[in-house]
Amino acid sequence: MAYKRLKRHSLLAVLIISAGAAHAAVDISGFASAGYIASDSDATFISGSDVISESASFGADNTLGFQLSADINKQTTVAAQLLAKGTVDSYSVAAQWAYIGYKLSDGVSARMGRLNFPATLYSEYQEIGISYPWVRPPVEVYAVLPLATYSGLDLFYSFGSGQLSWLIQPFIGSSPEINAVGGRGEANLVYGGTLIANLDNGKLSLTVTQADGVEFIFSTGGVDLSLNIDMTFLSAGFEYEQNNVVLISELVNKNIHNNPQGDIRTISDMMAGYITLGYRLGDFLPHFTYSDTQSDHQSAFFPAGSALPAPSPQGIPAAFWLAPQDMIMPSNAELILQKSFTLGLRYNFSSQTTLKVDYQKIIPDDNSWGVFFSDPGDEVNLLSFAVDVVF
Amino acid sequence: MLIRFLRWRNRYYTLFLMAIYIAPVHAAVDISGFATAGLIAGDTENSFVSGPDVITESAQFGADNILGLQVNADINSKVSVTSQFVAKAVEDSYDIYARWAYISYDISQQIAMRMGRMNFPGALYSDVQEVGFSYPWVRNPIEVYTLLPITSHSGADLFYHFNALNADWVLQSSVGSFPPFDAIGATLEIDLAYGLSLVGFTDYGKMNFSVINIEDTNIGIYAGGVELDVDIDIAFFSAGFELELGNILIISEAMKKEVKNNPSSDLYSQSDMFAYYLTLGYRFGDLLSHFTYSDTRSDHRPAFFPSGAPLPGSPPQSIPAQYWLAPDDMMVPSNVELFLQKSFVAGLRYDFNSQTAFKIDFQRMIMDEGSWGLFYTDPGDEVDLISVAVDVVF
Repeated sequence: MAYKRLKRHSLLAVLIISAGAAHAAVDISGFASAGYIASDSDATFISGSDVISESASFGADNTLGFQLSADINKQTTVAAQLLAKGTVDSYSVAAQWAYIGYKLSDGVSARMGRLNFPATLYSEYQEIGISYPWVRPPVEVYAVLPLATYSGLDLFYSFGSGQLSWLIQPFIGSSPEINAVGGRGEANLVYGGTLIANLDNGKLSLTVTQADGVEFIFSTGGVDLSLNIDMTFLSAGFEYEQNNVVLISELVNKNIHNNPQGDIRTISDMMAGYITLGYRLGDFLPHFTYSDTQSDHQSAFFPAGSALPAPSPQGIPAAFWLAPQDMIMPSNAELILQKSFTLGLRYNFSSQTTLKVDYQKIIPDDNSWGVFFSDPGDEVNLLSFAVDVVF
Repeated sequence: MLIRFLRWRNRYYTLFLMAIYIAPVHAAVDISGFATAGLIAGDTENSFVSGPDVITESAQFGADNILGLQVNADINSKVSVTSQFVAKAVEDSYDIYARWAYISYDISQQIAMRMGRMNFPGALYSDVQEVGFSYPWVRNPIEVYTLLPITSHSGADLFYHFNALNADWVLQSSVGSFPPFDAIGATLEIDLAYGLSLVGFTDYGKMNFSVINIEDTNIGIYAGGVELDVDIDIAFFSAGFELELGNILIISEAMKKEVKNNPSSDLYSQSDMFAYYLTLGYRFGDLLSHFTYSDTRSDHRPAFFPSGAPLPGSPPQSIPAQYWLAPDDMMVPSNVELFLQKSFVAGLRYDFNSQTAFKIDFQRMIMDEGSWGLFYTDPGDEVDLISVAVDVVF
């Protein structure tokens, strides 16, 4: 009996400690998306860091996230974003963010831990569907840089006030191995800076990012092949709203430098951009997007069994350096050459719930499969539907 | 309203009684949970399939260990988000998965819809299969619950609630797909699943009828270092009831599986089968003693191939004919496709309190002649298992 009482008391103590309610208020919020995709092609494709196959016609956009933050004291905060996605390891839960924030002074703060990678306009909200008009952000730009998070530290310096405020965000870190775009990637060093201008009617963002020692491993024909590259990303974007007119545009440029450690070389410098024009009609937002990509390079097609470009990677005799299936080099995860037109409608059902439908026509460039893993033909039509909530 | 009704019904079966409100939040977040810890003893040296899980000797402790948290947030009076996070010992060593993650919308008092990842309504206990507290046994009758080893899918469903014949009925139509997931020791991927289920609730219990069709089910099985794909369409039919009359408890389910092989399959699977069980229980206060008989039927039989023997049919495209040999002693179809066995389970459940149950089951599995039943290697004629579990809900 006494043991029972003691046990109960210990348990209570543990509960109090673990809830931490006595010392720091834990703020929980969350977001969820559920969607459906119909396509006139069976070909699997890349969207952001995800791979969408036919079995993900339900599930491609299914996302559940919880954001937890705890103020330790006036200066120190701990924040985490726990995320489960249909396309990433069957809804396994991972900490997409996990950082400690420290306010150094008014206008200056620092964060350390696992952070979102501030490379594009919607990097921070890429998983939170309610924060943008489309079912998913324009695939051409958001698949060029499929790195959504990194481990490291950043500094926020904000200044200005009233109609125009500025934020400068230098960052540095590395990225332990993650699964993305159908392979495994890691980066030894990532650094850069972002400049954001917040206006009454919108936002402007400029980012320079350098990623050194990026190793990307993908399997082909039962063999793991590695790319080892340095990459420079330049991106600029804005979103602007005036008199019910919504205008959003982003441009991203990727420059590649091959390192000698890689099994294969990649020639995949490219540029991608999009422009979105929308008009707000009460709770409805109809919108149209044109996205395009450009590169001085092109992918080459290798039918199954044909010899791949020399030299063969170390460990593979030249006689076996053959395409295991129909393939293009550089692959769709490296060099995406396509354009697309998206016509969409977003309906704000309530302040916390939206319904969206997008019709997208993707037209791969000649000799390219665009974002697809197999030949999708001349064009692919996608119809996407999603419900997004925040709570 | 309907979702609330279903949630209430769920609560009836799982007793998610306590809700912890963590403030400050943007919506009221309601957290409840469940846990099971158990052990298995007896003839445990042969690995076997149980529902979606593979139980090996190293899981004598752990086979039934599970922790689940159910988190619900009401966005407004019609829209809510429900999630169930599960960590299991036999599934990637306690990694946490979102088993449910759906948005629900009450269209009217009678009609509701859900979208996201949710339970797949195939059997009587599908929605509470991981919540040990909600049924009498340590684990659901293995013959029926391994026949449909799927507990959740990505998709949408629609509920229609009505009253008839002194019962509350819920008609549920579902459509969805399954991005790759691990179950029964293989990787499964399903392009399209759809079905209809009718569940009736009376003062005495619950009954369930389901028809499900799943198309382009791809099961990636590793054999001798090569991944072989079984690509099939499967139709499931199931009916079951749970009835409590005074101190007497009767539970029974029957399930039928019809398989159609698709041309892209590496292997041809002849594994149509039928499984059923009958449980009789008697309640003595907080004690529930029960007995279960389960059996399986099929017109097909697995064939035994000793290690090194040529396998049947033409080899898959990537394998030269001279290498199309059994890498180990094996059965074709395998134990995850066609298992022919019966079992007897005698069990006792003791409800410590309204949130804690202690259970012990003695199970004898008897293999049909020429079958290894649910086992990966020859288990002999019969296998005896003793399973003990403690279940809690909170």
